[in-house]
Amino acid sequence: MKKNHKKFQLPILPIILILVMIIFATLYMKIDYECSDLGKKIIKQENELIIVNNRLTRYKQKWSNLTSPRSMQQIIKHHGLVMDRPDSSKLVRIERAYKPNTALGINLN
Amino acid sequence: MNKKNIRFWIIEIIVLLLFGSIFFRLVTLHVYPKNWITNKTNKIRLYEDKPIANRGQIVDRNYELFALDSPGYTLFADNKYIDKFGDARLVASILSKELFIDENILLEMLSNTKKGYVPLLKNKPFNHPSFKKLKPNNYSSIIYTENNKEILLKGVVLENVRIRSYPKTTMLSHVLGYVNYDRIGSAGLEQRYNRFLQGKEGYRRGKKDAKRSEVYDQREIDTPPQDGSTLVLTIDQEIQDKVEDVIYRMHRKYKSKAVWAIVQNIQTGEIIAMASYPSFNPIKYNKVDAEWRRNRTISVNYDPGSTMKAALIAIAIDKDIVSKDDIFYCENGRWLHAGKYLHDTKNYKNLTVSEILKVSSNIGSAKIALKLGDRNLYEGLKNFNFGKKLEIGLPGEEKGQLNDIDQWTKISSSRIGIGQGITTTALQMISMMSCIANDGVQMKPYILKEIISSEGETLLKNYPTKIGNPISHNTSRIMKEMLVGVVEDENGTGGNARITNYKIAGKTGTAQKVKPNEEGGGYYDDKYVSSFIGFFPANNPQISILVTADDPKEKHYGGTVCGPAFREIAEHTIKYLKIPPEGKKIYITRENQ
Repeated sequence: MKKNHKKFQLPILPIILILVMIIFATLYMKIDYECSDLGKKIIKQENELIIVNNRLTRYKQKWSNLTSPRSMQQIIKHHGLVMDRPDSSKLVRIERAYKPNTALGINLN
Repeated sequence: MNKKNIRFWIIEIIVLLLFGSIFFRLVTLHVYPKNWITNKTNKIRLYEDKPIANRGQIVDRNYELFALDSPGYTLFADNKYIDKFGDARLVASILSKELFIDENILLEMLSNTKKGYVPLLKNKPFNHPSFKKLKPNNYSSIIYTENNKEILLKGVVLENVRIRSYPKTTMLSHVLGYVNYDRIGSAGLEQRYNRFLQGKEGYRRGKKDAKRSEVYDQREIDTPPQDGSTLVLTIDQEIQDKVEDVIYRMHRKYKSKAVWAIVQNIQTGEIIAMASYPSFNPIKYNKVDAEWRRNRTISVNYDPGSTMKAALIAIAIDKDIVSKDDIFYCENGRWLHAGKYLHDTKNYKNLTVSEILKVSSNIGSAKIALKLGDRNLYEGLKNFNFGKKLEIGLPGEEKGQLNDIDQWTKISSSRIGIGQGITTTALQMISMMSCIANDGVQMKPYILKEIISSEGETLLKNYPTKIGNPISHNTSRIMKEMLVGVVEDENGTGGNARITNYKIAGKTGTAQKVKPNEEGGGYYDDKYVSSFIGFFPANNPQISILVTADDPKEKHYGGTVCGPAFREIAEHTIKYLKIPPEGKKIYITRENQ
């Protein structure tokens, strides 16, 4: 006995549509995840920059204190050296031309 | 349709309705949220931060740091948070050891759960001993480390703050001033240029997550803070240090009430050093007496004494009233004029004008003043800018006191000419002497060279400015010769300021201190203000130096007390700035200028 089977046809268009949507959704989720991960990394870097800037400031302060004439004299005296301050033209200055702190000039808080 | 199918359809519809309604609710909540929901969540998730701007730096002419903002912490407790998520007992037991506070007192402080912000240690540098074992974790907790063991303290926060630092401690403190608790400049340059220094705080708004950490992609507003501008001074730390060292030793040696000194570039008017002793550390400004915080070089009016004779004689020569070889009879050291006696230290008879200056004869000077006349003397002193501020750019500058001529009595000119009955500031005195040295051209004294913004833009630049021409070039030349005599000649009063191979010009001053009215008025017999003002090399003057001691003990003559201090500062300056005896070098030490 021959059965009257209807030929089953897959609904191609809806399936493609669903697949595209799934791909888009997956891509969106991936990008969203990467963005938020990137955001976390940026915040981490920002915090690290703050830490580095703080350290830089502390060293600047320390250096400034260390190189003050009084400190230098104390160090010279402490080591029993016989030295005298040179004249101004013989002093080597690290920051001879002033450049403001723009390279690291972001939020230092 | 059988019963089974009906049941199936009913269940299917119920499930569909149930999920459909949930789906619908979710869509409406997400797509069209109600205000009461969004307000609540926005409030909870709102992240706001106001990053503090760094206060501008203060540097000397060689960009040596004198003031800057350094990082620090404020440790505070969020009692509400501790109550909800933390452990007050644990926090109290740990922090009491680190903060040296009694555990029970600390626990009591943490028990007030109505408070969200309880400061435990405010504005301390990173390296403060109390922070040694603490480190920030996030916005709501810190980590305490002991013996490699980490303990999380919830509800305790280390907040980043900025602390004003002065790496050279007491150096230049009177000029720099200090900032108060609210970081507002309250004295010195910090006060005068506060609006340039303070910068502008930033603003950041966005959302935070459950851990109170900011979510970067939800950041809505991000305005970075704008750091304050940098003040570049005319001060040179090498010379400043020497001056401070010298006046400190002078203070110790003569047990004086106070000592102050200024070093000025004659040709430009720049102040290279400015110091007062007693001094103070600007970060501990509230721990010292207010008198210690006074910048005496500009805020103390004092009778200048014989140093004023240089101005008197310069005016008299300039007005062609006397010449340097004119002779005055000095009355054997005691002279009654207008019912009042005037004395000299020795019994001088006939002295030339040059000798009067050299030996600092009061009687001879008084006679010159009388010959000059009240009007000429008054106008001459006004031309030297006595009686008005020189506007150096520091708060607290006094203008001295030069009474109007209609208030002068018969003896006024004879007393003002010898530096009594007139008060001046040290700045006015050095400015007068620099003018004599600078061919009669008076330059405006200034201490601020320029202001540079955090972007590197020059906001303000001070240039050498002429403020007057009180005496002629010829008078200046004659005065220089005569002032060299004060130091170089055998019987000059300024012999202690002599430097081998260099021609030094100067004038000594020893003024009796004014007695307050409560003590009967007049002058003390045993209290003096001793000073020495000089410049070098006299044939081509570059640098002028003033040294003044208030009430020195044991010795009180200006030449004896302040002359050696002048010499020591001058010798150091000569060596440091490589000033040759003929004085050709112009004081510019940096490139591209």
